[in-house]
Amino acid sequence: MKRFSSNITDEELFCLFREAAEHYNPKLNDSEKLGAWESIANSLLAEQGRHRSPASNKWKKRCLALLMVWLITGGLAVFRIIQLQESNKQYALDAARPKLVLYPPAGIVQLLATGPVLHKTKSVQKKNDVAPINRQREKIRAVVPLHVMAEREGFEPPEAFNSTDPDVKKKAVPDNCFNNNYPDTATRQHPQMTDSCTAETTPALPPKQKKKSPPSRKWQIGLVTGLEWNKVKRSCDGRTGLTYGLTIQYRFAPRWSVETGILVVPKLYTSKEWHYGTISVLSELKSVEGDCRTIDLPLNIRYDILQQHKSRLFSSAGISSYFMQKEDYTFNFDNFGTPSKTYKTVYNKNRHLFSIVNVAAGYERVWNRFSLQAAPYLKIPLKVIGEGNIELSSAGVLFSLKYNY
Amino acid sequence: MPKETSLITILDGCKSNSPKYQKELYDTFCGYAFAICMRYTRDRGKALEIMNDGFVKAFQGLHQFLYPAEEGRLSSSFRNWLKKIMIYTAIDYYRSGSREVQSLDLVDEEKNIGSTNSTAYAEDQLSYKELILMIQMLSPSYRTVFNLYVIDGFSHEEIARILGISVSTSRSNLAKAKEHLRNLLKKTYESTLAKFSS
Repeated sequence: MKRFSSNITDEELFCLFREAAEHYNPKLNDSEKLGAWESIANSLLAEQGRHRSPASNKWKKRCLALLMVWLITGGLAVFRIIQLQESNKQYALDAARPKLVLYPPAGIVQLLATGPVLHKTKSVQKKNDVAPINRQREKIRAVVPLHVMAEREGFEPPEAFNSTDPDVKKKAVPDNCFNNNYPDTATRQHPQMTDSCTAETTPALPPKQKKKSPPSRKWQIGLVTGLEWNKVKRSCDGRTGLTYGLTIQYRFAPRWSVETGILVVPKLYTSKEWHYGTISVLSELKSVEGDCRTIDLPLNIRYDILQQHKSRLFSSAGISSYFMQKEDYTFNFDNFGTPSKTYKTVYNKNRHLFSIVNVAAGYERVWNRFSLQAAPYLKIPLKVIGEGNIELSSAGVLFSLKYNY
Repeated sequence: MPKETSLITILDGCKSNSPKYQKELYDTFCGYAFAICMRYTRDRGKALEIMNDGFVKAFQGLHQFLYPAEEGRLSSSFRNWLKKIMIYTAIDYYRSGSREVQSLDLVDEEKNIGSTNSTAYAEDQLSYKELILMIQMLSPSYRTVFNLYVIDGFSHEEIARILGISVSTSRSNLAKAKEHLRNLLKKTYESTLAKFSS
């Protein structure tokens, strides 16, 4: 160290103290060192706990959002099931509806027993006068047995009916005079018998239901492309990137399917934050521009809300895992008025399993084995991702060309 | 100075919040950090507080520390980064209003200067510790400006922005700090001469 004097210059003074600062090495005794470390460790634990609790609240919010999606999808499914049950019930009721049964009065019974009698008078009989009776007889052949009819109507069957001679009896009882659809006695009806009676005796057919053919092909493989817009929470700027990939879908129920795939997604964003925690000291950082090549592995459940022969309207929800292949960051600093940039690249470091919630809805148009699909979607992060530990939300639309087999 | 590879391991471990590596980093750089904090405050206990807060901020913001591209510069780069954190933490303490008693009565402290406890001591030499003690004896405003300008290399404009004062105030405080230090050096030199001439 230089000898000093009262005329020491500023520069010498500065050198003196700079040298002192450079070589000054105060010793911490063991108790001070240990006590200081305990204080630091406790502060770190407290800080981690503080950061964890808002994250746990955010976790709860994300779970609630996912639950809402599932409830809506499940509600639609239940609604559809109830609709189907109602239509089935209606069908069953229609099937069980009583048929109109013709119970001919005694005159017609006589006629049946003896056969049709043509009245040969000029003013009365025309050929078609016989036809209604014959038609009725044909119909009657399809209904109640004569003896049952007689018992219920309270008339005596013709004597020929009780004859032991089979030929006589055969003449008395029309052929095939049995009802395959014997109605319930409580609900039978007795229409008045007239010449022009055309009581319905055939069972009513259930109303014709529009039969929607369920999709028979269970597997779908598709090529996917789309646009995705990314935004960091508390940051105003969002950036857009192009997505592409491959998806596989398996239909395990008429309206339910599970979908997975692999998507290459560039996560482009601008953030004003870069942290685990914050440092008020390092306030020179103005912004961070991120360009992250990410592999997205989604696992979604899809429900077809509307299914037509050639089109489907669906909603889906699920969860994604991100594998960050390459992360390029540009840091923009303001070094006390002087802008500067620094760059950082990270390779294959950050992986976030089941960290993003997917929500989507879309429309699919089917041609034979091929289909085209458009599905806007939303991706909600369940935790921070990437080297900068940021909450990155995404929204976009995916277009798929699928092959069904 | 720790080895480059081991420092990378320690820093990576700290980034993943491993207590073991955090303790190791603290043990490696606590002396360096404490020395910086001792320049900004007169009280040893206060210096420990500043150091603790500085380390907490360093651990929390370690993800912001960018490894330099050139080999062999990691240790110096990290020391500079840590130094900046300690300085800003000390300034936060200064601005928070935890003022020390601004006493210009330096008689008691002056007695510590030139004491027989100093190790690297010769006829006309002062130990580094005593010089730092002189800095500590300055009033907080003078001491802060002197440290920032002379030892830590900030300009008056930067000091004015950091401390929230005008540039002229910064220059004025520095001038007064220099004057006080010259007086202290002179007194110390004279007392040393008197001791050895008697």
